[in-house]
Amino acid sequence: METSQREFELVITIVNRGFSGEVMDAAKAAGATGGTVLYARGTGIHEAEQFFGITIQPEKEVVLILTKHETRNAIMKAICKGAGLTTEGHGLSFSLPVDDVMGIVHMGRGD
Amino acid sequence: MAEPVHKKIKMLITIVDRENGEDVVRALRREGLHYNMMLMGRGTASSELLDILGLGETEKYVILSFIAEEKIPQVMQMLESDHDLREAGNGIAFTVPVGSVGGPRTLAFLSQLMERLKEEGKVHGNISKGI
Repeated sequence: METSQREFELVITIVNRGFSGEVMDAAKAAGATGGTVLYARGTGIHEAEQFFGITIQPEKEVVLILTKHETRNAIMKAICKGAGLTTEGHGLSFSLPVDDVMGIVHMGRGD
Repeated sequence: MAEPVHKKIKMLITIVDRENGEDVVRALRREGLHYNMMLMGRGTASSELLDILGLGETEKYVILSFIAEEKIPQVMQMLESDHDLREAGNGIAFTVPVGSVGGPRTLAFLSQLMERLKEEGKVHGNISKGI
């Protein structure tokens, strides 16, 4: 790495459960090679709904995508478009800086 | 405490196949990382990619650990050699900087300072005030 800029970023997307497919489709179209999905439970203020007197907690999926710095913007834009807050998936995504990476030798080799 | 004890810590995120999760955590423990969280995850690499890489398994463990910065090369080396992370498809490991930690005891715990001080006999169960 010749610049001081970080090479990799971790894009985290939180969507309603069942919409990780949309997230991955959008991300892959923008150049991501894969991701990891975790199941989670949201606890936002507007999220918990009373349903016949029982509180229903919204179920979420957290999608982790490790990506090159250059492709991060395209991926995040694609996710926003494909599964963003205006869509049914109500996805929001953010990225974290990543420092030491091991195990993605196949990424960026063929292109 | 005269010596500077605040070391930077980072979060080490390791994503491996479900069957290797326990092994990796055991190995991390041997390296002195005692606080590991295992989350069950699902890989989403495309099927043609899975075929190319010879992978069938998509059930993953996402392991979150806290690591003192100076330990990173050693632990990465261990993950590389003992768990074949260099080999494509065997999993990935990366670190994310930690912005802040809630409280000095927590920081001491997460950066393995507690054990180090205990080994040196400087504290006995309690972390000293100066930290």
